[in-house]
Amino acid sequence: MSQTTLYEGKAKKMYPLPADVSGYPDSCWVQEFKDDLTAFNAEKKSNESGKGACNQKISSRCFEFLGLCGFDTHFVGSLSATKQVIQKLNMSPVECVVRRVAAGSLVKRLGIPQGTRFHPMMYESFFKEDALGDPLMAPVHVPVLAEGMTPQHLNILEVLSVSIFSCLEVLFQACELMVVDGKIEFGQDDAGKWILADEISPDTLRLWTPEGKKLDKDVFREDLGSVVTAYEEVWKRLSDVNIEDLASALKKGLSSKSLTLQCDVMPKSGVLDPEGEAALDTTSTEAQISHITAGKSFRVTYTNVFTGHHLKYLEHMCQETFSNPLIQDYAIQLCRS
Amino acid sequence: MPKLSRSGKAAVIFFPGSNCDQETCAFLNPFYQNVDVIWHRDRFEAKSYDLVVLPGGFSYGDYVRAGVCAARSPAMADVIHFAKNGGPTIGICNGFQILAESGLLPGVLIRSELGRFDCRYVSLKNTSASNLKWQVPEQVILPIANTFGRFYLPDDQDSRLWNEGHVVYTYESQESISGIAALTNREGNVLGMMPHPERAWAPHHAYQFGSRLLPNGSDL
Repeated sequence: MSQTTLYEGKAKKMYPLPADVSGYPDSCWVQEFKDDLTAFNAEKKSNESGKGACNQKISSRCFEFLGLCGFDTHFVGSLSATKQVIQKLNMSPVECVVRRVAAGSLVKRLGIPQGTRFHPMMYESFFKEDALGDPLMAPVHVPVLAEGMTPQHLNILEVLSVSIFSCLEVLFQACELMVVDGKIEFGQDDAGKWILADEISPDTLRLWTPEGKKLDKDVFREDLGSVVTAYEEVWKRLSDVNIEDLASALKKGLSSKSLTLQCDVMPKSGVLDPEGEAALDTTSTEAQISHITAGKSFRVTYTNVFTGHHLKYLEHMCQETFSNPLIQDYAIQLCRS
Repeated sequence: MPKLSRSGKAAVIFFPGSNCDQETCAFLNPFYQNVDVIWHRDRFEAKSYDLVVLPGGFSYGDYVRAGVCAARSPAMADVIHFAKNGGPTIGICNGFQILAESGLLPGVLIRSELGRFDCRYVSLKNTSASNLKWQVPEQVILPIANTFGRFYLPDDQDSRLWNEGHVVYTYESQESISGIAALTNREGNVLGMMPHPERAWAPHHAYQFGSRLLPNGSDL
């Protein structure tokens, strides 16, 4: 029986679990990694045997590590050298790009030298649409580009992306590799929870050795030799790391550059807000203000690597302490000031 | 009077910003052999007490939300355990806010209808259908003194409280104050109230209804 492919992209395809595979929930799919290589919005194409298998094992490892770091991921388990079982999600049309060092298209776009380091790291959202060349997505573009999404969703994706990237930096530091930048994607489960999806591999991360050697898709983009040789080098380094020990060290709090998150608490609409009303009373009619809502903000600073466990605890604090869900709503965002 | 002989032990939890703790001890003294003040940072053997009281005041300066910081303090972990196992627990004013924020009572206390500190005597009526484990008078007059004293739950949940015997006292028709003044839980061992019984019991007080709100050993 031929399989039905539900989705086929440049580097992967997805389809329902074959009948002979059992032991997984119905809500699972197979994600198969292909040997195809594309770059520059598919203007440059090739393939190299073994690339898909490299990415499958590297991605599995990264997802396992991030799972141990407290992030919800779509990864369920590996099925074969090139196939893995994943949780079926409602994929977001946003590509989340995090950069520690300037490289690639950014260098041209902002006119800065390659190698410029960013503290804090730089986050950008891109809208996934080949026909448009995956344009940069500012909060004002959200309602126009993506139905059902709000600018607040970009804030959530930013917080998740930056914390995931911080953990990946720690993982690759243990392999003596620098994560220059990376692209990650998310989907939502039926309950609307954001879950890390897609893949994390040298196709989606730029990885440099301390000597400046590139071990990622730039090998293909810039014709630097065999992609599989470079990716196998990444796998060799990665497979030597004890991810359980590393994740438990992170959970105990590995020191890092400080990160501040802002939790905004606002009265739910319809709940009386005498503070806002009192403030409105002080304004003259000339000011023509129709409504004032008074809320509170809490800035929360971490000096350890911010993992999924920390994010979950912060969400818990927002629900239990900073806000009372009976009368208030909260929103978490990264604080950059 | 519910109790004429001094027996048993009562604990009063003292939070930073509590200001009714001394009055509450004086109020309990005639009825309990021991009244201990427990510092909020200390864990304590709650089950050795017959009554735990969270006094009024402004714990943590009402920061974040009235009662929320106190509700997360170490001593409250023991109070929550005590109350969940049926221990008689009373929260007065800020103590009521703490009970609501700790989840021992439903709902939340929000800004008063006056929109400012509201301090006066109020007349309360017993709903006579409450779960409360001990008898309280049908009608009392007690002082209130609060800014965040208005009990709030979204409408659908609020009606359930009335139907399921949670409401102990309501405010009798008075200006700018209405709704629930005192609330109990499903089991009837936790009482949260905005009015101050510890300010209305001694001969020098204007009214003496206060001590009749204390649990009577024979009712429990």
